[in-house]
Amino acid sequence: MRKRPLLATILCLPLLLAGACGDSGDEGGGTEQTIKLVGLWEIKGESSQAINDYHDGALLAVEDINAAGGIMGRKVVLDRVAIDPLNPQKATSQFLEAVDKDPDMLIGFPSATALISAKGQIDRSGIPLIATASASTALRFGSAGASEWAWYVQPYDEFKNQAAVRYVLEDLKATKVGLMGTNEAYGTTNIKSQTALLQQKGLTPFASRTYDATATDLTQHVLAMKGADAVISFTFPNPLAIEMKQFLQNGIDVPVFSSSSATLAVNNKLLTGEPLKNLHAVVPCDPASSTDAKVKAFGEKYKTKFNEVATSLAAGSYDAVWIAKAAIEKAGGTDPAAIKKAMTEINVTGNVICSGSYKADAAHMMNRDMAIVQYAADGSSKEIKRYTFEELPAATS
Amino acid sequence: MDNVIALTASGIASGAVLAIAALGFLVLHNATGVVNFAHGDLITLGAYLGVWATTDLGLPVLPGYLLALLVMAAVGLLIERTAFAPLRKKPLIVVVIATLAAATVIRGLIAVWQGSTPKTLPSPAGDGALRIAGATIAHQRLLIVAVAAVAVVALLLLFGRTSFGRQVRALATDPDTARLQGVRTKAIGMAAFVISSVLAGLAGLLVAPLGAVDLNLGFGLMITAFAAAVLGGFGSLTGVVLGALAIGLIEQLVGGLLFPSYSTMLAPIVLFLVIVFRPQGLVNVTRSRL
Amino acid sequence: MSTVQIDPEAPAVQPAPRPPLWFLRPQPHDRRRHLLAIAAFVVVVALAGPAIGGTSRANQFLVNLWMMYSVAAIGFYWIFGLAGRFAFCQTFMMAFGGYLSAWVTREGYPFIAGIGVAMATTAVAAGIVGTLVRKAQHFYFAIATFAVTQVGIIVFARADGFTGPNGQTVGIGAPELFGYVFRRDAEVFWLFLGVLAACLVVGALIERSPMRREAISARDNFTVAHLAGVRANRVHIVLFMLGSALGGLSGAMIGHWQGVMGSDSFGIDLTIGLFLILLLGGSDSLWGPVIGSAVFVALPKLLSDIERFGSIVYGVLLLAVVLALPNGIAESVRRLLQRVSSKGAGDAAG
Repeated sequence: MRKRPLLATILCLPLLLAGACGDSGDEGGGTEQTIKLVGLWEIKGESSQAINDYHDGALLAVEDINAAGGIMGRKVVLDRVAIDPLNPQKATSQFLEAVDKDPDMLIGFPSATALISAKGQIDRSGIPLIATASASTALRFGSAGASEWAWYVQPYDEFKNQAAVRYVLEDLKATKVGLMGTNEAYGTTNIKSQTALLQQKGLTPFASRTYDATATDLTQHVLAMKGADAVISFTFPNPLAIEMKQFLQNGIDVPVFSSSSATLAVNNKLLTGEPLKNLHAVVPCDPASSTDAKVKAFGEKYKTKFNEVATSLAAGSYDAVWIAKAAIEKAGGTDPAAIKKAMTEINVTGNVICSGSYKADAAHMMNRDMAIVQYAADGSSKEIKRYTFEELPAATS
Repeated sequence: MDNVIALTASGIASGAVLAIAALGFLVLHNATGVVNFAHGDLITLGAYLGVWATTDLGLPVLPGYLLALLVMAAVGLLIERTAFAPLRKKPLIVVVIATLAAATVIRGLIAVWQGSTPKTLPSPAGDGALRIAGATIAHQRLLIVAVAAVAVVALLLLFGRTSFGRQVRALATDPDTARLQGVRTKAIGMAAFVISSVLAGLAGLLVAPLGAVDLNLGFGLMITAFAAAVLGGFGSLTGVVLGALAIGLIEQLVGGLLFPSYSTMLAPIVLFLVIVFRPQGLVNVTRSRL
Repeated sequence: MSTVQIDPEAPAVQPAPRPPLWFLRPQPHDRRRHLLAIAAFVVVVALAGPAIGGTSRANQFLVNLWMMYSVAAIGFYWIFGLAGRFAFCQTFMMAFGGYLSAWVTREGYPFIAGIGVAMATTAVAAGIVGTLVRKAQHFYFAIATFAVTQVGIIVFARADGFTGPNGQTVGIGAPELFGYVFRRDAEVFWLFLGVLAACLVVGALIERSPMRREAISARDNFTVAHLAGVRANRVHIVLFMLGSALGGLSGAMIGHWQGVMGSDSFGIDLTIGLFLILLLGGSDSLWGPVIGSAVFVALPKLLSDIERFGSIVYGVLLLAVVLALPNGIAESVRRLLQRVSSKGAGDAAG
């Protein structure tokens, strides 16, 4: 009898956890009539970084597919689990919640860091995942951080560096190339790789500077670029806006090449007018400026439905859903192993937006396109160069 | 030379913002003993209120800013009434968690209200810049330094010359004796919350036009401001201003000129060394309280 | 327990009859009470853990994470709860430990060596930092350790020979003991339960040691403790080292369990999280960190269904809990049970 209150004390711990475990059932998804996709991304308001692009793109694709009769006559259902892009522990447990929903395929996971952290769980889940993260070296299939169940719709990260360096050297004939970025892993890794690419051409960076992602004053970094022919700056939207304003204020007239952060900074009106005129984005596609009828139609439909300009990120998740459709059809059903095999065989060309064709290479990369997009002071953009890269072999580490 | 001027101006301007953020933090701490973890999110809120007043309501910039600061004063009062006054008799640790909870709630409310897309805040100084001896200094930075100077002088006068200031100083030195001497702790506490949150709002309004307004704007600023307060002896107003300027100049000027690759590491290293050699901060509080 | 073992050396005084629930009373010298409670805890978790984990993969993951956060939080309890020092660097020690152990095992040494190196190195690092800033108190100590964390994170991002590209070490080997490899989450659960139990036993030994009393006396009044002959700084540095070693242990275990190590998982959120864990659970008891971690791990999951309003509700709940239970959950439960037991004792006497 005496033991009981003690046990009660201690029992309250597992019960607390048990309380958290009440709801893991799904609401009738995954039945024979429907195909269940679960999107792994946040929507606005769920974190300070959250954007709607991924969800809206996928939503549009699901609508289009269902309007055209679904997948093999079965209706597609899109569920969603928020994945915290900045906290890999949390992201992994959120990923497992998605697995508990028993989906036929998973789409999303925008953060490469979180994706790598969840590798073990992705392996064990045995559910094919079409990832929307920008595909870093560690995610290349064959390396220890890459899951055999994950494929990527965003091009290999290294292509972004290669496209930027090739463009500034070959087209701009720059010899003095400045490098900027944030002082955490994303910035330092890209700068390292860009430095190596410059060195292959016998050049050293004109200057390379890293700063804190939350910095509000980049005077010293901007001044260090005085005299450069071009600056490559793969950073986040907020510091990019500060950078561009300070270049202008300090009278440094130099073309700046950034990543999809440039698109986000422009779409969110962090940058308007004069500071835009030197800005370039190195992105797989730019639906906003495309002249292709199919892409234009997508951009207009997206704009009408969500009242936002479609980004390459939205196009990527739109395409991911179409890839999922192709894989399930090729597999002839939702058996994970069959879908996995189908993913290596399909070549998706029909309804996709961000690339002419999606075909997995040995590294599990599906998109090999990179475009250089130039902005003008009125906020408009145009694609000025397009690169298509070779298929990538699997990593050998 | 022009780089030295530009970087000095940058250093002073970032020090000035830090000073305003740190002063708000400290006023509250001295008057009530509370370390307010919600201060960073109040800074963020100030910037968002500025966006709301100028963009959503369409007010001109200056009236918009004033409205934002007025709302901040009301928010300060509200926090005092809802999250602090009911806890007056509780242990300090409870109050600290309450401020953490308030921080989470404020951030969540901003996210629901304004969404998570970064926004821009217009400034009365515009995007222009001043040229001095070949160096460029953005008008916004000059505005920051001017406003901060006015705020610091006003605070020094408030705390040095008024009865309110004497009461706060008495509370900071010895709360129990001060209460026995008839210091009105309740009124002082309310006033301190209002001043503190107006200062937080001011810091947010000043720093936001430099970049973008997002949910993380205030948090990093609060941590650095906290460091500045510690560097200055955690208690003295002049000490805090000196600490803030020191951090600003170390990061921008020393870092920019001498250690460009290590400028982000410099401030924490200096801070650590100061604490190793002067474990009570650079300014001795017992001699120069407030 | 109804039968009480009496030490052979104990004076032959007839022990006073114990009231019911005596083991819940504050009896700092009673080691058995702690060990009994730990044994009961292990049994309950051993029964409940797999049952909860069996319900879903996400739950199994959270149960494992709870145990490792508990280990780090017990370390933080020694540093903050007992020594009264707010170490901002506990999560840094977790990351450091994780990287170290990954590196050691990558060099071909066994899992256990990695864990040992992680614990020893984090302890030494804490010893150095603690000695350098031994005179700093309160905020000064917090900011000094915060500075260490900031520099450390930048160094981790740059030293990619040690941490790996993007500051992430991948392909860390699964935990392996005596030839048995813990691969699945359900297997790792048993390893973690053992580790947590071991940490609790060490914690119980500290609870009844003079070190705890000395640390608390030095925490509450440094000068008086010092005059009374307590080597306050030394006690605090030792607790800082021990606590940091548990941080290193926890980080290393998480790394081997997940196969990946990145400092992103151990950022400022978790630093504040550990603080909350201790304040919510109770900073006066060894059980505080364990209970607090359970709340910390479970609450976001409970609130995930209300999406955008989650953080608002989280804040309000936090406030409600702290108002209702100002001394932490562990202390409140203890007091409640004490009241019940003394009432029971009164009834029995009557």
